[in-house]
Amino acid sequence: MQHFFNRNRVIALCFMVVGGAFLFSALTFEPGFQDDSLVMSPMAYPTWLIYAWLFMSLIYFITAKKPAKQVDLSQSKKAIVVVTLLIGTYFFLFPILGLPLSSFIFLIAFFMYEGMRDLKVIIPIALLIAFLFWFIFEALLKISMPRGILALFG
Amino acid sequence: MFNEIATSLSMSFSPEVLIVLFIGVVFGCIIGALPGLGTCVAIVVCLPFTLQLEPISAIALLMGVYGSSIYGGSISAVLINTPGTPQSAATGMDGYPMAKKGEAPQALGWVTTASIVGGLLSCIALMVAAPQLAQLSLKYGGPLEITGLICMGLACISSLSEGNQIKGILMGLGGLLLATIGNDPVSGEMRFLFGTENLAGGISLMPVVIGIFPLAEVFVRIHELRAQKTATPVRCKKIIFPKLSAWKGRITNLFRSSFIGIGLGILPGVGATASTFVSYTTAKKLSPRGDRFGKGEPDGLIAAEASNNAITGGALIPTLALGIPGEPATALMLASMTLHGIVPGVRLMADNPTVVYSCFILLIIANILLIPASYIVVRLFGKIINFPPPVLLGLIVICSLVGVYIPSGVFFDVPVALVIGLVAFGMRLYDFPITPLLIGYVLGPQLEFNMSQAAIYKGNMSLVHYIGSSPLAVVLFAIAAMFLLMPIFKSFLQTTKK
Repeated sequence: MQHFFNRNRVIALCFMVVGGAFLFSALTFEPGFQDDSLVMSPMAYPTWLIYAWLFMSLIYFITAKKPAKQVDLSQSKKAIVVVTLLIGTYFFLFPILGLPLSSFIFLIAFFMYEGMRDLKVIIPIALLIAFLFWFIFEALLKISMPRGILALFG
Repeated sequence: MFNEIATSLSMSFSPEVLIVLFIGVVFGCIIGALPGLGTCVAIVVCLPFTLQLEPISAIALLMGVYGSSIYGGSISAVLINTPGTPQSAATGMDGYPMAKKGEAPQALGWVTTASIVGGLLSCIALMVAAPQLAQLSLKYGGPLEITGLICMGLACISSLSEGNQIKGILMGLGGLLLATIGNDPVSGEMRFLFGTENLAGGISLMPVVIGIFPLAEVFVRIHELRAQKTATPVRCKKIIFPKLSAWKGRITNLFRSSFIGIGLGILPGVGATASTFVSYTTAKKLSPRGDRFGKGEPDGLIAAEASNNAITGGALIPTLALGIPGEPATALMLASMTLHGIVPGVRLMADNPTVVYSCFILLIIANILLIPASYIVVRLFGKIINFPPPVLLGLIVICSLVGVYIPSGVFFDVPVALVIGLVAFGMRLYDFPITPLLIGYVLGPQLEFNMSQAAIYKGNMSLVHYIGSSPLAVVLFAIAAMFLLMPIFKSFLQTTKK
């Protein structure tokens, strides 16, 4: 049983679940208005795609063998989770703190997590990068970015 | 035609455009040389800047980046055996052994010359073939034929997944399905909102592109850093170009490889990486020095480089003339042009010939500008490549955020990019090709729109009669079906044999 449900078959099952969610949404779809001039209903094309997706997922499930190479995530799993959280926090802070400040904080945290400990080195690098991005996009190109609390300082 | 060429020439040779083009060439070389970034990231990073430029300057920047980033990828392939772009993988097979022997400047000289010749030949092919293709497409460019053409392009993507085409097809379908979220292009009805109104406008292109390229790359690099995968650097501060006498017996290889690149570049879905390896293996079979391939043979470098740079022009032929991107970079070029109000496709050559001729001319100039750019980049590269990985990755994350936010100004796109990045990282980890996902996503709306139009044109006719009324459509659908079904049968046969 363990051999039957190898990694590739589990992925195929995940694909089928995603396809199932789309299919459910397609089958329960109620059009907002009735337009008789339309030959294809809004869900016709997506429904064909979903059936094709489910069919290919089934083919993948049937033909899937035990993977030849094992993907070893044991050493990197924690790092991926932490970096995802760091990037997520940075993206969350971006509209609150503005681009330069949020970038500066993100870079300090990211550098420290990646093993750069010397504050005399990482603070100037983070400051320089944050300033460079602010200068290029906001000062030079005049692109409107969320200013967050920086707006309080004019 | 001559009036349009003259207008394009005067536009392309304005000082502002030339400066922007040179910046694009140097920038493309640098980004291409940085391992893991590549053409797509270079184009994506440039996109926010292009939004501030005039359309011709924006095209110049994109053409500069597009025409030089593959060459840039070969620099890291030669010097640290880490191809900056997947297309440069074959270059490292002979370039790195040469560099280890202390011949890095010579190897880069061969690489630069072959790249420029391949690129220029592809530009000539682009100028010769694109108008004919465009004329043909205007003659046979109804919604049914376009649907057939898009289907053929989509069916080709199965070849992007060597070894398991089913994965390629699944990814292509995933891209098509992703593109159906939000507004229906014909009726405007909302679909697949899954309880959130933020999806009403669909998932924008930028979060998809930035998620599957730079952000996924950050996760891949973090994973690799933890797995202690490192490379030994080789020092190189200059380029030594080969003497004319050194080309004796290698010219045939140069031209053959260039034409392989152009030919395979025109076919949607074949991709630069596959074409480069086809060229490399052909040269290995036909070269009198074939036994030395893989040990530092310039013929191997010529085959790989001439081919991978010739693809730039080849891949632009279906992209500009038919609106069908053959690879992710051209899919991005297509999307970038759309952002500037230029709609690539069957009508572009007729409606906006100046844009097409400007693309040809700018790509030719970009290839010539590779010579001065290569001197600058090789000097810079030695220093940039030594940036600590955290600094490089931090820069990529900030570029990604800016790249997602600027085009739409919608904050919802930012977390979407992160989610797509994580999914793409997982897909890459488990050997799912990501390129078909992007091609499917870019072509999806066009496919649905043309299918809807074809359905209206069909009227009361039966589907068989309607398709049969256009011989070209029959051929295109037959080819598409063949491309699509072949890998499935092949996979079944392999399974039953085992």
